[in-house]
Amino acid sequence: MPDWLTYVASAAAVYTLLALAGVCRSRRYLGVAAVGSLLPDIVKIGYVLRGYAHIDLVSYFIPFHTPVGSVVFALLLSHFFDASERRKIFLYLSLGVSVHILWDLTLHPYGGGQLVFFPLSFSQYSMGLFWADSIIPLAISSSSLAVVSGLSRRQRAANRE
Amino acid sequence: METRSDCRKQLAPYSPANTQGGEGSGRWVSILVLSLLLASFCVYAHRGYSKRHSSISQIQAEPERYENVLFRGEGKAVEVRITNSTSFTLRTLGEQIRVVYPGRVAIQNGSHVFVQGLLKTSKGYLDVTKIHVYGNILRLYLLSILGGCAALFLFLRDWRFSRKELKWVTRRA
Repeated sequence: MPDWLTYVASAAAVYTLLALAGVCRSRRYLGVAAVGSLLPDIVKIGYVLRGYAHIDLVSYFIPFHTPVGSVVFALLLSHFFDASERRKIFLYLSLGVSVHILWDLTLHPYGGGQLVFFPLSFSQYSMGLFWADSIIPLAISSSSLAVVSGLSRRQRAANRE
Repeated sequence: METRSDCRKQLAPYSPANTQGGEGSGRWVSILVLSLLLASFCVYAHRGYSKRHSSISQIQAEPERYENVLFRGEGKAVEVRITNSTSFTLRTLGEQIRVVYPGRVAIQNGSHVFVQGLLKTSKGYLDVTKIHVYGNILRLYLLSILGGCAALFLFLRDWRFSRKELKWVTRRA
């Protein structure tokens, strides 16, 4: 996985881009998208348990790192919000999840790659473009965030005038 | 005498439409259904994934079954020996395996590495075809902690947990 800052910055960049396009107007869903971008890494609990407590539950945690599993998890989490917010919370959590899965698809395949079509198939895919310790994903995500934030600020200034 | 409409009036405050209980019970049913769906995914993944991925302890328990099988792993390299080839012990998730790479690699004791290769269980090592030495794994962890803190800050800035309602509500409500 790239570092978590890459996921959060990418989710923030996509969110700001959507705000620029007029899709979302409230800033309160930014945090939801940011948390969503870290959701698939719940699978790491399995690795920590195996490494430190010698309890091997890694394979049970795998669905959290798949598109379908993490979207179902996002849907479950959205039920811990008010009914009026549920749809938007689910959409922004899913936005974060998508950002995470897309970044992980670009990595060299530690563990064999992404289970993109789980539960239909256990085939794993990866593009093998970056290593997990590469700084390139963070450079791309943070520069994208800087660009869209600049555009957003300019748009707000223009609207004030 | 109490009429039918009076009864309805008395019951109205407790009817599902007018109470949190109505929305709440539907919400808890959905939570239960989604939890069961996720749990079934977890059990299904365990059955399917375990057939395709084996831990080092499983390999060491049945070495003949894993001869020439592809293996990928990531962990800490210890007992590094560099001659014409590079060999070390890979420690990963509380287990370890001897690794041999047919070439010289700039690697030190304690380096974090990714390896991919074929298991030579009869000789007791992993014959590595692909190796990556992580340059700065500490930076990855520190940036991850920073990312986690940023996500928590952005979320908790606008949302708080209501213990009474057992749900997250916006701070400006």
